[in-house]
Amino acid sequence: MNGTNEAERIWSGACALIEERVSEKDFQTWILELGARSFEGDTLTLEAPFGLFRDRVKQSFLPAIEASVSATAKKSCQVVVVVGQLGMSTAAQRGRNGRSQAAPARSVVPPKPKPVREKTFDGFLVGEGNRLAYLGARQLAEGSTREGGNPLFLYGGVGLGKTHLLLAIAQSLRSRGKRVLYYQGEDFTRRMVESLQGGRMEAFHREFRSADAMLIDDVQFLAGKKRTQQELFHVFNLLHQSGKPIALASDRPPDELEHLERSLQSRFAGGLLADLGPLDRELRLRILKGKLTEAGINLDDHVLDRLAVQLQGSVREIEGLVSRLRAASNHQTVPLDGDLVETMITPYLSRRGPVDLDVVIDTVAWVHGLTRDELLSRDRSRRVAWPRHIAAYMCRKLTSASLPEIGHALGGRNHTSILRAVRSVAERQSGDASFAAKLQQMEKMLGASPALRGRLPVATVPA
Amino acid sequence: MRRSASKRGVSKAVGDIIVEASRLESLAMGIYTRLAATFREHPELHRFWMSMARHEAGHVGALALVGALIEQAGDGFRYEVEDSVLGGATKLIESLYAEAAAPVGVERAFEMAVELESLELEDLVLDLIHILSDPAARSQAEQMLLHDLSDLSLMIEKHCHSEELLVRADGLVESRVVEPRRDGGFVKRR
Repeated sequence: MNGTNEAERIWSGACALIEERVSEKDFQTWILELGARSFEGDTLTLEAPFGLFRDRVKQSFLPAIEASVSATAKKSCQVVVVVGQLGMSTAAQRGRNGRSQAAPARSVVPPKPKPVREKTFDGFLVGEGNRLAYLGARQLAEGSTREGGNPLFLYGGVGLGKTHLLLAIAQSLRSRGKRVLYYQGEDFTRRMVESLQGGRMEAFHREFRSADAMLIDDVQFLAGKKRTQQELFHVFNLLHQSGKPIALASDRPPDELEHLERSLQSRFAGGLLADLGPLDRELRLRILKGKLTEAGINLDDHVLDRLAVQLQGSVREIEGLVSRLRAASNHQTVPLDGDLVETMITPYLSRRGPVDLDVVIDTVAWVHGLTRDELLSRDRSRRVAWPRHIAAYMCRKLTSASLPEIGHALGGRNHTSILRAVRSVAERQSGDASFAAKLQQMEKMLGASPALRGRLPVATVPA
Repeated sequence: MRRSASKRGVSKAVGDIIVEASRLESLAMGIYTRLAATFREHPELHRFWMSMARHEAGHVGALALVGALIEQAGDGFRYEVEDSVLGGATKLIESLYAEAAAPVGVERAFEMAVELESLELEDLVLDLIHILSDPAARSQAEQMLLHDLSDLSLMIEKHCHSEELLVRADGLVESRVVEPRRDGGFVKRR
């Protein structure tokens, strides 16, 4: 057994004893954040997430930790606490008694709902923004693992259909008798940690060796978890070298997954990268119609059109609105006609910008004599970069999109870049009257509702 | 100095203020680590609260740096501080620390963060830094102290449905914007 495994074993045992010696909150707050780095001689080295944390642990808990480690190792041991990465990774997965846990005894956060496990390709509506992802998923599901299509890496915002496609692949493969492993990122980690702590790593590896396909959702949750990434790298190679289908999904592309080992990033990016972009208007309309039909609600075409224009979010948001309509309709004594629906959805829509992200981008590009592609390109020259900043500002001000959504729409940029862009435009606007007037003109072109003014912090809006 | 015109100012030795401010920043770090423990099952929130805790830990480091430099420069620095600043901060932070010992809901957790980050404690510490005559040391301490709260705003936008809380958080983001100063350091925009 190597030093790391031994360290993890001893630390796991010690945690069960420490739990008896400190309060529950202290255990959860301070002890579970620590990770075991090594055990050499009589010294167990633990990692804490940052310096002051380490100092607090040493000051308040070191005697209890040393006593528990010594009891577990059955010899007198020293404990050294250093600052490192493990404290934020392996330990964070461990529950009380040092074992992996599904949920804490007093968790106040509702656990993430497990996806419905029966999804098919037939139930997936294809539009411009998700066509490549759909085709890639179908190809993989049909067993084609030709160069370029395997692994399939799906990425995009929440509620755009990544999980649906993964589950559709799983359903398709299983219907042909294939053994498919489907994990959410956190489940994979939990499974791995349980196997590690229970000394069942061989069985863990065997499970993957005998699988016909591996699908992992929410890969972003593996970021920073070194040991989990090592294991994933191992099983990934195991399956990929055997030509078995692998599909992964994340909220961002591999090269933007911070704290993910480069080796994994390059493996993930080695196949088909498919972006699930925002839903276009036509697709929103089709989804909306489908959901309303399922719910037994009929709406006039003009109301549907209006909703399709204004609901800029994800499928989940559309589902939310349909649920709202259905719930309301159950309490109405009169049928849901257009006026009633208008009344019911008005408060909801009034929070939304009447302007579409794409419209803002196209307008800003046009005003500056650029093409849309130029505006969204990686060109950092001022001719292009400044209008891009203005587009970010306008999107933030006139739409209800979040910074990550705006970043996505503006060519896949990080939300912090968008925030910086918004700030720089706001700064200039507050000190440059002619520039402020130009922005105002653009707003008029975009038909922004006066009610939306004030979306940005007061300090950035000129008096 | 900015606070010298205060209505109920009390002149205190800078060293004493630093000791008290450090204690409060440590408690603030403790609040965020407790919230991280509460949201352990939600990786994104857990990571976020730990990053907030790390920032507060950085503030303690900045205060230690200021304390050491002031000590080197010799004793005798005094600073006029409003009673309400330290007193109010102490009361609020101690109460939030106690509250964070029990589970709290996600919206309340963000509300606690906004309350904590709205304290004038950081302003007070930034003012203290102006005592330092070495621009490089001052700049270093300022950068350790300034906390870009845009992530807090984004997380509220993502996990809460409170427009009011989002507006407060956005206000905090704006108030923490730093601007370059002529001597090469940074200054917080007032």
